Amino acid sequence: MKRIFSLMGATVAGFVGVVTLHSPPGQSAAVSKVTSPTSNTTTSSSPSQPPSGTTTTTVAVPAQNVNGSAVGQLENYSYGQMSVKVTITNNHIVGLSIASLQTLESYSKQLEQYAVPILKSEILAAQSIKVNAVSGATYTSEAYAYSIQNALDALHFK
Amino acid sequence: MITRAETVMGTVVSFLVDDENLPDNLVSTALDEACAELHRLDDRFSPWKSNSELSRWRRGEVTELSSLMDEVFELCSHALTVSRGFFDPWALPGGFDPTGLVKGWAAERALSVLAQLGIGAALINAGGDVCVLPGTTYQVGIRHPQKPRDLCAVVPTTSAVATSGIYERGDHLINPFGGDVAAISATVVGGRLALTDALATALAVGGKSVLYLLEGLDGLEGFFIDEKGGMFKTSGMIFADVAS
Repeated sequence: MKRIFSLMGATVAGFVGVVTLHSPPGQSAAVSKVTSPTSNTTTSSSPSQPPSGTTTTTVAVPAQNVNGSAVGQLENYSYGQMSVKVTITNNHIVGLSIASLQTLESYSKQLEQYAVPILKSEILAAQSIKVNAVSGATYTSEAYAYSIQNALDALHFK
Repeated sequence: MITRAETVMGTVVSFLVDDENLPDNLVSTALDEACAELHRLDDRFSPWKSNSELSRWRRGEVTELSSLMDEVFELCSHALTVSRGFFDPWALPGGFDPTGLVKGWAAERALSVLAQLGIGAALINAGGDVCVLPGTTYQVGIRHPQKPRDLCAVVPTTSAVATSGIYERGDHLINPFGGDVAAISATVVGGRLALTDALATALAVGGKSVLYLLEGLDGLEGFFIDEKGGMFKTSGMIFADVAS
C-alpha cells in the first residue's frame, strides 16, 4: 500500500529530476525515488523558454513512518538555476521550498570584497569599547568525538 | 554585573546579568533556574545521550512526540525553508540532527527564564552563540577564524549573534546540495537566536547565495570570510567602530 503525495509548483517548469530521500538510521522506511513524469523531456528541450505552467510531481511514499528530506537536482531555466526541496517528518511534508538562485549572478558581481580585519585583543582592551561576549565556532571534545563517529558511520565502520 | 559559567550541551554557557538594584538572591535563583532549563533541554535533545528523546526518536522508539520536540521540528523546517535548504538537519550523515538550532533555541529559552524571574538586562553566550534581552546594546566580538587570540569584528547587538565555521572542529559542516562549504567563518546578527544560529550555519555552507537571502530578510544581517581571507557582508551589516 502506498501513499501518494502530489507536489505542485506554479513556477516550477518541469524540471524535477530524480531525487533520493535519505532517512535517519533505524527509520528504514527510506523512500527512494521521486520522479516527475515530465522531467526528462521538458528540462532539456526548451531551456530558453521562460518558466510557465504547472508541473505535478508524484511522490510515492510507503505507509510506514517516513522521515527525510530531498533536493531535486539543480536545473537550468531561463533566469538561472533552481531546485526543489521536500522534507517529510512522520509522514507529513513539513517543508517544500524552491532554492532559486536566479539573481545571484548580478548580486555576486556587485558584492564588495573586504580583507578580513585583525583586531588585536590587547589593542581592543586599551580602547574604550568593551566587548561583552565573543562569538565564534566552538571546539568541544564531545562534538569532535561525535564528528569522528559520524565519519565512521558514513564509512559503515562499526 | 554578575557572571556565571555552566558546562552544559557539550560546551560552556556563560551568563552576564546587569544586576543594578536587584537583590543577589533573586539573580542567583534566576540563574539556577536558567541553568536547570538548559540541562533539561540537553537531556531531551542531546544526540550524544542515548536516552534523550532525540536519540530514542532516531532509533524509532518514539511514536508520540513531546510538544518541545514538535516545536524543534517546526523550527527546523522553518529554518530549512528560510535558508532555502542550506540549513538542513535532515541531511546530516548520522540522521536528523537539530543540534545546529537547538543550542541557540535553548539559550533563548534560558534567557526568557531570566526575564520571567525579574531580570531586565542579560546576555547568554552558548558556546559562541549569543542572545541578549532587548533594551540594552551589547558589543559582541567575532573571533578571527585564522587568529584565534584576536577578533575580526565587533558587532553591536540588541537581540542575537551566531557564528558558524570550520576553523576549529574540522570539517563538520555539510553542504546539503553537495559540493564545498563556502566560508571558514560566517556570522549572522539579529532576530531570534534559534533561527540566527541555523542561518549562520547556512551562511557558512552557502556563502553568497545565503548572503543574498539575508538581504531579503528583515532584521537580519551577516557576513562571511572565505578561505582566502576575503570578507563579504550584507549591505546593512553594521560593525562597531574599532581601530585595528
